[in-house]
Amino acid sequence: MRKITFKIESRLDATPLLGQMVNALCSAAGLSPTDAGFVEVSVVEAANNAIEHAYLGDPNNFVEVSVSLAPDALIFDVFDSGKSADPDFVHSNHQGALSLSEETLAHASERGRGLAIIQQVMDSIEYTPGSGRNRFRLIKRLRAT
Amino acid sequence: MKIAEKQFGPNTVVQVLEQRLGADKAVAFKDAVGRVLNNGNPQLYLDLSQVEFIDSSGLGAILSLLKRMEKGRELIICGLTEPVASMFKLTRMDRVFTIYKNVEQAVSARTH
Repeated sequence: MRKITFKIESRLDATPLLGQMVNALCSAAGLSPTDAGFVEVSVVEAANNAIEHAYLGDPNNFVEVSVSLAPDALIFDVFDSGKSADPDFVHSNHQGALSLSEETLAHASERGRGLAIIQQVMDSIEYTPGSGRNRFRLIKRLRAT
Repeated sequence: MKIAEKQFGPNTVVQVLEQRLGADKAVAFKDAVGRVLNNGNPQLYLDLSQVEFIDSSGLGAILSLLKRMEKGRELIICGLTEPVASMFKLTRMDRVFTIYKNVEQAVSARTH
């Protein structure tokens, strides 16, 4: 299994470069441009969550992203060393955040769609809190063409 | 946040001159376009044809602008690139916005 690791400072303006690298890797692995874009957004959302919720916006930390290319999947491990999230919350179904319609618009929140997007795009996710190192694993299966 | 503003009669076109509308730009985007919204134009055309990436924060910022529009005013989205259109669809945002292929088509449709 081939693997590459990126490390960015915990600043929101550091995530675009990470996203562009993820998109390029997805394209190289054979994902369509649309799927590569969706995966890029998902990994950026996971990194944003680490910056905003694990590090509470403190820019003096790092987010590490390891990308592993397995024969049948791309595996993204997003690591932070900040405050752990509740795994039950991360793994719960967030699809309700995407139930936008003209009827629900007035009450729709402008936040809270990141996990829903990740769940919608990725084939599986797994959040593992650790003492000093949390891991958010996102897996995208590669379909045979 | 770079935007360009153009008047079309009583209405305004705001073009976002950024390739990415993500969490790092969402607040600045809301502030910049929000200032134009305060002008009270009946219709605001938001041209996203330069934007190639949008995440949940960028989408949320656009949604917040829509929610700020009083009754009788419209926020019209124009020029979605393929990746941004895909995100609108994935998050069901395409259900609550009026979307046109480009500004010319939008202005023509809304003024005739």
